Amino acid sequence: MTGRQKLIGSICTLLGASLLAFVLGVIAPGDPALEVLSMNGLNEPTEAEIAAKREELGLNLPIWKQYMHWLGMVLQGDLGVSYITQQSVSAELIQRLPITLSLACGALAFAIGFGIPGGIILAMFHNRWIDYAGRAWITIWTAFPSFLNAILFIIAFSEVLHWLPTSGYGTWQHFIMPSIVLGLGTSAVLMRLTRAAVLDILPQQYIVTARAKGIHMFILMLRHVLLNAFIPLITVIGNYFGGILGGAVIAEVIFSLPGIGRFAVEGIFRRDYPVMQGYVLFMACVYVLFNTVVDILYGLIHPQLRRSEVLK
Amino acid sequence: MKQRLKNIGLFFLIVSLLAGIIGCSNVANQTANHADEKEIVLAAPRDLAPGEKDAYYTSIITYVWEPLVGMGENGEPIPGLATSWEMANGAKEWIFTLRKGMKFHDGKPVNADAVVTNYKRHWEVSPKNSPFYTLDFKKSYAGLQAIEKVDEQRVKFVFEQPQPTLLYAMENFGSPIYSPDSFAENGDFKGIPAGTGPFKLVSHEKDHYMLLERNEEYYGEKAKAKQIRINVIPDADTRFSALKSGEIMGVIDLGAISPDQANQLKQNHDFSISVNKSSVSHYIHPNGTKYPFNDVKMRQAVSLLLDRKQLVDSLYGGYATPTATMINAMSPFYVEQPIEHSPEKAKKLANEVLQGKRKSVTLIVPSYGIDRYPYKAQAEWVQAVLKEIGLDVSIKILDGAAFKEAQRTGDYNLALATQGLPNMDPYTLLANYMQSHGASNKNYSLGYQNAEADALLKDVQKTLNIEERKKIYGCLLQIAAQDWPTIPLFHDATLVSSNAKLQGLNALPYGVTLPQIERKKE
Amino acid sequence: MKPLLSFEHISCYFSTSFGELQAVRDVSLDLYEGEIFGLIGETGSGKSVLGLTALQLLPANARVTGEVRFENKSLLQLSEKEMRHVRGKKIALIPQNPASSLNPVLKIRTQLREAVRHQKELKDKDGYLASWLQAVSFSYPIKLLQSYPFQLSGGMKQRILTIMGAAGQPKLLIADEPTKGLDAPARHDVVEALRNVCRQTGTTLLVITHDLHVAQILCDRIGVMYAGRLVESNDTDSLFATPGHPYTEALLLARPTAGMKPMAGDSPNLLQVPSGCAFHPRCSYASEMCVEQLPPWTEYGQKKYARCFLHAPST
Repeated sequence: MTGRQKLIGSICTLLGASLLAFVLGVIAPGDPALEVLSMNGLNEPTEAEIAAKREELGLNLPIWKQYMHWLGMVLQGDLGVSYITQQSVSAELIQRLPITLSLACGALAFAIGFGIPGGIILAMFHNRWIDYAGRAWITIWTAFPSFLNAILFIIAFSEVLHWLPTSGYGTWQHFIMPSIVLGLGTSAVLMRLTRAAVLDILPQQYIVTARAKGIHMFILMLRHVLLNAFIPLITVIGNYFGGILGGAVIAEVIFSLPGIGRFAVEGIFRRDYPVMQGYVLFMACVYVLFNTVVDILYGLIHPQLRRSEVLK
Repeated sequence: MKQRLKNIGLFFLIVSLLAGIIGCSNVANQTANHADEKEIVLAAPRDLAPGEKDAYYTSIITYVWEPLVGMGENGEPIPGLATSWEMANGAKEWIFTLRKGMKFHDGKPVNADAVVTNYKRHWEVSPKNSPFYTLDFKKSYAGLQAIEKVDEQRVKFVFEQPQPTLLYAMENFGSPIYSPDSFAENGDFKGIPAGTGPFKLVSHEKDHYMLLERNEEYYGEKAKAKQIRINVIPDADTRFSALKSGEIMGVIDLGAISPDQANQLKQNHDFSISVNKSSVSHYIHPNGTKYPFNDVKMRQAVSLLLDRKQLVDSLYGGYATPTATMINAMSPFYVEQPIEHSPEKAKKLANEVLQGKRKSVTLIVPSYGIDRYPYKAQAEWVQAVLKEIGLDVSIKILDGAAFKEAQRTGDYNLALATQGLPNMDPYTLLANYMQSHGASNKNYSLGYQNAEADALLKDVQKTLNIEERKKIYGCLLQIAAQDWPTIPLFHDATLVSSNAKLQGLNALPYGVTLPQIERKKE
Repeated sequence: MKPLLSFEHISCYFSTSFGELQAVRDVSLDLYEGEIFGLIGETGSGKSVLGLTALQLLPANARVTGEVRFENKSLLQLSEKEMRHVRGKKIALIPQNPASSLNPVLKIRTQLREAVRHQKELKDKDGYLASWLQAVSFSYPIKLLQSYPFQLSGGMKQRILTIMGAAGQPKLLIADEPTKGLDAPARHDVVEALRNVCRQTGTTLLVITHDLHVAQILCDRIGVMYAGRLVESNDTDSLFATPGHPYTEALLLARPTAGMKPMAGDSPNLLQVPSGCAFHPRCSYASEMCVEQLPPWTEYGQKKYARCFLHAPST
């Protein structure tokens, strides 16, 4: 696919995602006007008040008109204003992005730093006890849901050992537990994938060639095996990173990190359409961006995927 | 060579990651200790300083701003920035006298001009939503014709109609006063507002924390703590862990600690619990627009069957107060209605409605209830109990918006819900629930129709005498306890907790005694 | 003269899901310095396996018995660390299957430099490699170094693999099926390259191949393997003129240039090798003795060996 085709494809993805999100939001039971008026749990608005609010928020317009209006604003760079807090959606997203970004990077670093070397080790000690132990480990952490991990970690490392703070952010210690909790699942997946990829590569002929040159196992693993194993791994990593960026909601709620995930979920609960819309659009952009990055990385690693001439 | 360097880099990344985890123990403790000497750290489930676009900027419980009229222990109006008041011209005019020599945090004087500016701003932005309390001066000061400065220290309110219960509407969130410089053109705040409270707001970060500092120029008894930091920890379990691990020294605000968690701490001498009344009550709303709860006998049966004391003792640690009265006990107009518990009577009444057949009914539960209260267990309890009178209850847990939608469309039979006191004078609340066209009546599909109640409510509107009003409210409460527009269960309690090293963190009906908090002397 | 490398009673066993398979049966063979020795046989004769044992490069399910002596060391006893000092430096491999023997994601330059990294005194490795490439008829060595394997043809890749083995200046080069799958011009290039390399540097070369023609034009001496056993060993001209073993004779007769007479019978089943002399079911000279007993390795002339009762001293 040419660059232009990819660009058009991306734009279609964004439009489609935002339209779908809009429709789903409107279909869902619940009334944003009512939510806004009753958010403190004390007041019960009258029919007239609800009607007036609906009018004010433009909810009485036909659906397609509401969507076009929103789209028009987006093309001018304005994601609108939250029904509930009256604050600019784009400002909120931008303010929260660094936190989710740090969390995502931390989780990714853990998943890669632990998962990939782990997978290599398991492959090297194929079918010995380390391998069995490793596979048991993988199964456990793939099965445990992240909220369970979070609670266990907090009890162990904050309450009992006093090593780490329970929640909030500010210092790098605050990011350790959320990153690990978020990254554990994927580190297990990466470990399994890496192990499989490496086991796939080790019997290859070019590995025999490399061994025949008397190369040290370490260099062999890193240069010859890992580079080849990376290709399936990068797809997983790219998708995963995009997913985390969109909202490690559970980790953000449990660890009190005011990130994008929490923001989106609160918006959904309160039927805050501008927030939901802005969030979906933002996430669609993130995914498109990451797909592009992964494509570029493919080309860098696997030269055959770049365009080039054949030598005579 | 490049490749080798990359390899080494990767290796170090992994090593440093591991080292970081192990090596942080000392550092974390050090930071915590250091903070202890400087400030007292508390936590709340929500952001108590929503900021510039909020109607109030911060909740009143942070003691940054003060109202003209405050709320006493029993919900009665007490002096705030206004030391005294007088009613004139058949309650059409009210004159408030301000305390002398007071200054806002920014040094500006508290005088009549400032009050007038405040009210102008409040009126213009009304109605303005806030997670604490809706600011709607057009409603609470309905019929206000003018606010005049009488002299430097006195302000006069002039109304179209008599307003005998004005003071109740003005309590706390009803009359917030800030320095006029705190407002921007459009009525939002510009920057951190200057109030008159014992604490100044130093800094805050949305959904993260707020930092309060003692106001050294406070006219009354100064706050005991120099600096208080309030962190936002929305998850109940995390908040509890933070308290137990010593990371925070106390928890405040609505739902700070659950009855279950409080019971866990009771045995522990390192922590103390503080309880007080709350203006929130819990109900089961019946859908009176359809069978079987459109029949008053069925509603009576449910109220007779449910053992409120059992509920409170087993699920709420005994902290709540069982009730059959429609409004919360904190209202000065409260008249206690007797609680009757009789399973035999209940069965008889239910039988008359169901005619010996069993009926499937739906009980809807809001998801915020699951987080904050033991609603799941409560729903299951209701389910188990109602079996005895022929009702087969299926439980549906819905998120906030879907819950409200179900109530509005009448797509339910029973609903667990809470209700606070929007005004110490219960007119709005009773009208909402008991008038045929009342907002709550309609929105919750209660289907309640009672001509006598309608007439009484019309009467109350005309009655200026407080005692007379109380009498009429008494009648209405009595009707409610026989007719059951909704079925009250119990009055909640405000529950907070603090580390034993702290003293002075006591629960108030609304908030805690923040200025009293200080570390215990060793 | 003392041999450079000696295989002494080498047997190789592979554990498979069908049972244990013996790929090499008690093979003893000497290689002398400076010679080009060709090991010929069909697929499954065990020739490649034998070659790989010298470098301990067999897969994990293989078991080797016997000894391989090289420079007064027993190669099979060496640890992995010690083997690393032998591989690529003293004994180098030119692996078979050029299509899959090069790492697809690394440049040729990277892979070639790995082969000469032990030559510390060599400052200009790229220049050194470029001259090697030119020696095997590459016209644009610099461009070649910067390219990736997928950009090259089979013949080019094979020549590069040749360089990869030779540039490290080992004492012994083992070329495993160097012309398999190549067309005639490419085969010619590869043979030329091998010959030049050996003549210029005096490296000993063990060529493992099933291509009789290549063996004939390239090698000084030849060994013939069948069903895991060494059945004949002779100098090239003599072997091709007067083969000493019926299998060799049948191989030669099956060549297109010699009449293309098909060999009788089927290839042996390595899981159930025929008793006695494994070739007996297909041999026109076979007698009862061939079925019951394994013929001894007999020297029937000056440096002419065969494992056949035809040459055994008559009883």
